[in-house]
Amino acid sequence: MLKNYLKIAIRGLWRNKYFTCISLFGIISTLMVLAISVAVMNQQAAMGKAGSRLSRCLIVNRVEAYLQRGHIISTPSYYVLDRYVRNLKEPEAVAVYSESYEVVVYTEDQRIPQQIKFTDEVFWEIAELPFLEGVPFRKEAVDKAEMTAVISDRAKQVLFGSQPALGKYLETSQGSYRICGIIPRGEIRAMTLNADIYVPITTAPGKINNRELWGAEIALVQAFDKNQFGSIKREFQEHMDQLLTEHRESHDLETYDCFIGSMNESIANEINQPELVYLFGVVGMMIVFMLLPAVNLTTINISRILERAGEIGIRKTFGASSGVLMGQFIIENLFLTLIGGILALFGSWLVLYYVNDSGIVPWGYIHLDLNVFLYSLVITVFFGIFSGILPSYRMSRLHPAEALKGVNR
Amino acid sequence: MIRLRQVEKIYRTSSVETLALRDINMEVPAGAFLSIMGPSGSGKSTLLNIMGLIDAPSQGEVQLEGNNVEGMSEKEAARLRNKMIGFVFQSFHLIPDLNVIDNVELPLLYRTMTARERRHRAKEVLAKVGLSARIRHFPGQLSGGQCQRVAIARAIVGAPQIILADEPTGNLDSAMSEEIMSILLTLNKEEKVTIAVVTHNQSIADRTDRIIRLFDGCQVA
Repeated sequence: MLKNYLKIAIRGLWRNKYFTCISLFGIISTLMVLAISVAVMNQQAAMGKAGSRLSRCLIVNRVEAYLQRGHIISTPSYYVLDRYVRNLKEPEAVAVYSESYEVVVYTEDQRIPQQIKFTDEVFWEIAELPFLEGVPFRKEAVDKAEMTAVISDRAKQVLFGSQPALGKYLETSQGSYRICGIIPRGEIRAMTLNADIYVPITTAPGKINNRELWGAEIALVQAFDKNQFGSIKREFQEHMDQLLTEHRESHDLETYDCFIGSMNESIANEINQPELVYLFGVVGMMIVFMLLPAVNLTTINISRILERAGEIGIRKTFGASSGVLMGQFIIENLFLTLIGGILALFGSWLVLYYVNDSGIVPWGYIHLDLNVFLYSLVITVFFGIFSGILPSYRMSRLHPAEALKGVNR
Repeated sequence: MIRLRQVEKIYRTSSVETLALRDINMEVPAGAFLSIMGPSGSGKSTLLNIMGLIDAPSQGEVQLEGNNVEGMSEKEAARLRNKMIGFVFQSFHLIPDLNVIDNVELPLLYRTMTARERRHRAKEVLAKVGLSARIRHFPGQLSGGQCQRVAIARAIVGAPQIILADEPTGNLDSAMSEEIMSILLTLNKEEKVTIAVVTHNQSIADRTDRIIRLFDGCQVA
């Protein structure tokens, strides 16, 4: 019986190519938006996931100061973080690193712009990034300001292609760095950690020697557990009060407010970045618009199924009950939806490949992984049943004598 | 085998009531070959539909093999149709997306049978109507006469006790009409299948055991 239904479904779809294309377009676009949305949500959920070090981190990344001669909003300097944050007693660890900068990397015949980040060795402990090759630079390398670098797999691809990169030198506008490790960009869980090249912060003397209270550095403060956040913030505030006392006169400070907040909130706030606002805006709009095809598909299904009143009449005349016919039309609909689902998954994979490759999502790759596939499958099945059940029910109520009047041949 | 008592059928819309059948009383014994005649709109097809349980009377009683079908659920009626009745229509009513053998197998889909049994049975009846060479063809690739033979094969594939044929030769030329009538007559004579045929053709009606004439929904003979 199933074979018979599938034969009918395949020939029906082939015969009504226009309808099939419209239906498939509706299903594919709706499912693609859903699959991509689920992938983006999965990516968000994966960031700062429970149990990871990042989830028990506070981040210090903003300073607001009122001076006698003006007002400054900035990130703190290495000096502030080194002197007033690194020495906090409550946290388990403190990492200090810079924002990402554009740096030029010279290859044989090209100047390739890349994003560089200056970090200490603790950065690698907290970020917990897996290494594809090599190792992170250790404390000794940072202390000695060794010219060593970790690069992302994407940077490796751009700079070295398929050639091995470990142990090779990167010629940059900041100097020549020997590559000691390669990390997967897709595993970077927050935009604040994202860069193409990572080098010891001590190789930037301008940062180390800067005695200003504002700069371009960030600190990650890792607690033993989240319950400690309150006590860490209190200790942090004491240190900031001390900073204000010590620098009020030398820097003409009236106030100096250095903000400390949870890493999870910071990650959530990353979506306020213009590109992500754009991305999420587009996805949101598409979801709203794609609801229309979903509703339309149900309507199209009703008219398509009612067009087959003749077949319904024949089947009923020869002994099919309403329940059996409902089953048939739902199976046909599921079949169409599953074809759409498979094409949509392939389309989603292509879109995500393009999105990831274009770098519009700055904190890593959005994966269309097994979870997303399963969610999409569930959505597909639900969608197939949802859009088939109402027309099937209406169709199954048709009286055989009435339905037969719609038959031609 | 089929008994109708004081059967009346009224089609109602919001503004109009149409009396299609009035006070029909008839009995069709097992093995009979009956024809129903009358002008267009006299209620022939409605009567056949009621006899075949694909339409219900507005009033009156329909009995099939002694069982009153009134109050029967839609599912029970479907099961009874599947088991006892085969239908042949003027415009064939084949499913265009299925090939000949799949069309013929259709009534067997709603029985408990293996696919192999269904296929075997369908091939048997297709051989009987002389269409063994056309089993992979689609209805659109066949002539009218061939389509009607497929429809007859579908009607008899489940070995029903009754065949109801609504103008089975109405769309066919005389040679093909003769072919179809011979098949029906053979089924009646050799396999004792009860047959009721709606027809406008007096020469066809003359070959049946009994003629029922309708006029304006009433039985006049």
